[in-house]
Amino acid sequence: MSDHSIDGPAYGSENRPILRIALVYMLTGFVIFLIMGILGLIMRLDHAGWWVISPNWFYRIMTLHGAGMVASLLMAALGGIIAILNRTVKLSARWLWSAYVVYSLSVPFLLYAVLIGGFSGGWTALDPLPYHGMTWSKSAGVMMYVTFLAVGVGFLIYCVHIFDAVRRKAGGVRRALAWEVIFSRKSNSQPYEPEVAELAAIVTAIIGIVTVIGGVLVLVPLFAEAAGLVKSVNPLYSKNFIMLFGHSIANVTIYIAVALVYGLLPVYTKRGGHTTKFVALAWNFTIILVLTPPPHHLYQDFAQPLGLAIIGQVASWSIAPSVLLLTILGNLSYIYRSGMRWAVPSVMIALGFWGWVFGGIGGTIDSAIPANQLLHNTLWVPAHFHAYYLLGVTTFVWGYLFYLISDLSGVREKASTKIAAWLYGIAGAGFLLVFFFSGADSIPRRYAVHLPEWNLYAAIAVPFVLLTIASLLWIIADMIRGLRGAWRNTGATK
Amino acid sequence: MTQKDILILFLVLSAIWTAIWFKVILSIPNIQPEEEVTKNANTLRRRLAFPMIATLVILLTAVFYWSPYPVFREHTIGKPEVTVNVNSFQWGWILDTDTLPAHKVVEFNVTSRDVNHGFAIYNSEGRLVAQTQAMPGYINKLIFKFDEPGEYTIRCLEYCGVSHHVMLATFTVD
Repeated sequence: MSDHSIDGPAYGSENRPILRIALVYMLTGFVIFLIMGILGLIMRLDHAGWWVISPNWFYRIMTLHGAGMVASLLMAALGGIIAILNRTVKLSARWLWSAYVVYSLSVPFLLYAVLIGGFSGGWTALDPLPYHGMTWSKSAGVMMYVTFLAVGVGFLIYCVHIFDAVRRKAGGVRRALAWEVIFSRKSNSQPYEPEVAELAAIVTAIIGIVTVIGGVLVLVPLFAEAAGLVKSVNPLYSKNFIMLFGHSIANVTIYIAVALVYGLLPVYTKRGGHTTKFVALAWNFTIILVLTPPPHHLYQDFAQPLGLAIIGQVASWSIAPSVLLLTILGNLSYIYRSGMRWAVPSVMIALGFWGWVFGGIGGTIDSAIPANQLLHNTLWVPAHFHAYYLLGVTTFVWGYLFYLISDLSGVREKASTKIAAWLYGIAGAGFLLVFFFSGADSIPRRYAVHLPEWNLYAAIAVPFVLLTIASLLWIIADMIRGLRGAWRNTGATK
Repeated sequence: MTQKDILILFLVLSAIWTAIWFKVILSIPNIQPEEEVTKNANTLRRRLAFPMIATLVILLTAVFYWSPYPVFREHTIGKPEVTVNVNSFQWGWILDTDTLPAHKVVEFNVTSRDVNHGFAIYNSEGRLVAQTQAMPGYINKLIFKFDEPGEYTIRCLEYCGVSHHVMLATFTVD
């Protein structure tokens, strides 16, 4: 049985240096997220025809926005896991700081590639474009891949350490993956039950390690090409592995964010917190559910072997029953008739479940091959993943950060800040709906210049974006009051 | 199936989900013991699992039958009667014809001579009707039948550099 299932805070406060690291990861991610959000606003202003920027700058901003958002939200979510794991698992500050430093090296590399090198090949940097950009040099393309490398290696250091730390505590990988819970019979009355956060951490670490291996398998040949050792890389090969790396690193972020919810919900509902058979199954399935759908990004590459399209389709649709019946239903049952206490973090959690499924409906439809034929690379696609991010990942992760700062500092939230949290959800939903409608109207994604008849969509979206930013600033204004106290309560050992 | 049908399906499913979500949120003050809720949730899970998975399995068959891959399109639309070669580059399209017949099965052999592009056909109302990727070193075969005469526009739908959005071409169907 878990020691810290319901009682006590949803973070470990004994090892204060580790908690400081968690805070640094989360705050770094938060600050970059805010800057990237402004870049997103600029793009929508351009689409509305209200602040027209040159295509060259539009695509550079688009590249920064994509890369910055994916990397910053992942980092913030990883920080949350560190804080929760700190309750029960012995973590190494040296490993976590090393991961942070290497991961953060991606920032100067990215800025160099985009701002100095003029790279505007998109955050996915789909080969062969980075080395054939026409308006930027090959070295800028190489620098973009070095950015990938820094994120990948930093993430790998983190994952290897987390994997090892959780495995050690459990006394084996099978136990850490809660297989004793899954396969327990009634006669075996004492299966080893890891904390949900431990299970989630080792699962996401495994996904992270495989993801980085996928990244290495494409980066090595691409660096070899840049060095003149090979003439070119097979574009179908590189596309598959770039999508495996990009998709998985983005997709795993929501699962890491959900792990924070498993830690946080018991604080507000006095329910859950146990690694039941369903919870264990859900997390074990997650490994497959994140790593097998990436071929759905290549549905429109008809030269791709049909078997891979079938894998992508079946895998993408397997997510719906698994996530709905295991994770969503499980978490809703923690909330349903629970007397949950309303506070900023619990509002954010509730919103996050709505947004996750809302984005999931859009994604599941788009992952049907005939529908994808009509939606691929229209604004439907960013609609889907912005729903995941804006009303899934960010609500979970910022909800957790808000809780962490408030609880560590002892500065209680203002009652009115809950309004800001609800506004964030309403504004986000409006912004996302416009994206979905735009996609259904066949408007392409990644277009610097929109036709006049498309401007109206972005014009409707902009006020929602502004409201999202305003509500976030409102939340920040409350959260910042506790920041100094929270900082003081981490760091040096008591 | 058009984008409009897809949008309606999406909105209906989202509305159902939103109703369920509201039911959960509004239930919060009306407290019930956790054991009872968990028991009911497990029953619901058991009841939903089979119909949900069965529906998806049935739909999967339909998905492949209606997929745009040549092996299926030759059954659903017919064998190609007209062939068009399409090459692409940063930033333009080369088609070996600019006029195509209506009501005949057309096969587009699409490739690229530099980076990845997206060969997307928009009808005269600005609606995306078919697409495939244009990839260097590979030929993607897109089979399509134009039922409506008019002017069609090809847009690039795979980001390919700073003039991606002006990578256009047109052809006429009559």
